[in-house]
Amino acid sequence: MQANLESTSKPKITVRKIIIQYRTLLILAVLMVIFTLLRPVFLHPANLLAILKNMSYVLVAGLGMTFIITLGGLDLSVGSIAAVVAVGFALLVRGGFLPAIVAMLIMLIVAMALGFVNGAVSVKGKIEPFLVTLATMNIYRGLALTLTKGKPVPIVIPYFADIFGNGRLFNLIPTPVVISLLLLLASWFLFTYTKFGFYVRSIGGNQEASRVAGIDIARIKITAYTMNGFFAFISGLILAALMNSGLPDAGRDLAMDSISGVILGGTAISGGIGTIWGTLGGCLIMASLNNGMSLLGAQYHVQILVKGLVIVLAVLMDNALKSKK
Amino acid sequence: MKKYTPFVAALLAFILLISACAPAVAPTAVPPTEEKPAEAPAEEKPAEAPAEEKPAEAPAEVENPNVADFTYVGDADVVFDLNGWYEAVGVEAAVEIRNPGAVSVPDEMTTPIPTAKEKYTIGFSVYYTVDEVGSMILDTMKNAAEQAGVELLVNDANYDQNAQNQAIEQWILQGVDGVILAPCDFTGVKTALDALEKAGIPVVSLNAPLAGNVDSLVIGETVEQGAIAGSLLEKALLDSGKEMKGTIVYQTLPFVHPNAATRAKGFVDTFTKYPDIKVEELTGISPEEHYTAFDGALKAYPDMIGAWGLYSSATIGMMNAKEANNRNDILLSSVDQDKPILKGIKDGLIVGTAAYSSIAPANWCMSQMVNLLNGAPIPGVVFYANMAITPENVAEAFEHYYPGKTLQDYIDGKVQ
Repeated sequence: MQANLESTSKPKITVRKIIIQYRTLLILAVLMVIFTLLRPVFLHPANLLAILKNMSYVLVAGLGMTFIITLGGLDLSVGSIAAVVAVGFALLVRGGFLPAIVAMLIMLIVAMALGFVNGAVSVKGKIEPFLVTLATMNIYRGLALTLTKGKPVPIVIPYFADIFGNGRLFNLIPTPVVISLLLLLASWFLFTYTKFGFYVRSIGGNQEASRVAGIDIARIKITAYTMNGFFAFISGLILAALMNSGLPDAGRDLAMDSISGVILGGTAISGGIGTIWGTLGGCLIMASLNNGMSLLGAQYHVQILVKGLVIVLAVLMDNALKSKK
Repeated sequence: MKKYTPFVAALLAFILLISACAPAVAPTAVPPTEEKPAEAPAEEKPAEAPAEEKPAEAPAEVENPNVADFTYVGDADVVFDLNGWYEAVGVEAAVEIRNPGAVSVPDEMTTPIPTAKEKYTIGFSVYYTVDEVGSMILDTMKNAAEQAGVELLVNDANYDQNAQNQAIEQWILQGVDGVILAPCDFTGVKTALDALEKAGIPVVSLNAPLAGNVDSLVIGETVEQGAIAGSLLEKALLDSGKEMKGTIVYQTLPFVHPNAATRAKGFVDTFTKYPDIKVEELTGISPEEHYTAFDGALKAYPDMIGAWGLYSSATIGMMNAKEANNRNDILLSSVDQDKPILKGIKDGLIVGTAAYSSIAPANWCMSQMVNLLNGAPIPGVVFYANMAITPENVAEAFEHYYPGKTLQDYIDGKVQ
């Protein structure tokens, strides 16, 4: 009888389960195989590094977004904050007005303050984060355009581009890749092994239960949005370094790209379930798609069609996983 | 098995879609990136007569077969002062053009697109293809590549400079012989231009960047475009018998775009001689935004006598707002030759437009690149021609800019 019970309660490993469980890796592997077959240069180490480099600022934004989405929130303003950082930094260092490090510190405070505003207005005003960040997305973008009167602001500090943009560690690994991977590790630790990470998952999973358990929900939410300002700050610096200038329209697609990466990675849009490594996988999928379709010479309309299909595929798999549970 | 069917079907559909994107060319071998001669000999002056045939073995003596189409602007041995050109309209630029001389060319080439001496591989990155101008440029570039006998790799960057930079990195990796690019961001393109310079790959730019070095530029005389639009409006105002007094509104982009700044200079300069005319600037991006802005302006400026759409979306929005408000007394001029604008001219809603071909720039970019790779001397700057379109020549202009189509067929809904 005991043996019978054991055999019935033991979870059965099926192909379906494996497909669903490892969907991010599977989609990534399929993409890599297809692109390599069509364009062998896709798998060239230099191209793989280019994928990582071009993914870096999206991954950084995606890390912050993982916390936000796991909380059950959303931040549409991340690209606009990145633009404010890029143009603000460029204006502050222009003509040697301020040393780069001072300008960076100022913009770090500004970015976190903008993130704080998102969180505080949403929590204290009891407004859906979607609506708050939809509004601040326009406000912050307007700020970036107003600061520059719409003009790009060149950045002529060689070491800035070397550190955040086109430099290479050991003459091999692009520096934005190093930065994004360091932040990935820090985020993974914060998300998995700290009280803050636990509270984030707990609030996203069941806000009422978290309140009863004595978690300060408002504080955790505002902290998460403020932290997202920090991630947007790093993304903004990378974008500015890659472009050698502060562009008021920088990070135009950053929010959508990072949200797509997070969802593709398996973080539930309804909150409660999140995965930092999944976000890496999701961002890699988006970056590989961009890179591969660029190699194929696909036009924009085909690119967005394929990207949309991939997201639908991932969400279908996610739903299948939930229904099975 | 049935339960796997949706996944397998979705996966198969996806694989088929991606495979369908692949152009029918053989995969390019992985590096090495060779150093290519980036500079063409600059000593040769353009000849008046068509080029004579020379032995292919002597690259230094290769002649440019397109010289008959060139009319030099300034000294052929002096590099065009692009940075000064931009400075005049308050736009900061730091661009080095590697070849001397600037020429203007006719709207239709009278000389053939040069034939490649070898099977070159050329990358072409276009800023946008989801509009009439962008898609025509792309189609023309493909045709020109076929005529020249080169393999063309294409990137549609959709106004994303990072995407354009990525494509350039990939092409460097693939060892392309040359790159033609239409910058997405006029400053951010420097990263791509620096990478190409480092790799020794020549580059021809369609539209002039604000930073970075190029072998050649193919650009429109945008100050002239603004001046043409200004003259068309001025003439219409004078012909209407209106007093040259009141407000003229022009609508542009909300951010500084070099082409917009240069066009605006040409337009505004036309009206500086009228002290009682005040020129006001409004901004927007999409036709809807321009519609709303102009709708408000019609009420805000009761003394408005005329208006100008600096580019097609502005004009289309303004034209519709004007019509909706039944304000046919407001005279409107334009730049660009999108089909709705040409129809607007025919219908009397627009007095005229400053137009330029979407075909000529692509053909000239390809010619410049192939000549450069063949070792022929090329001018540093090619200005393609502008044309004033008025109700008198709009039908012919339509057929000129949209070969094989007529304005009447467009009005009748027979062509898109």
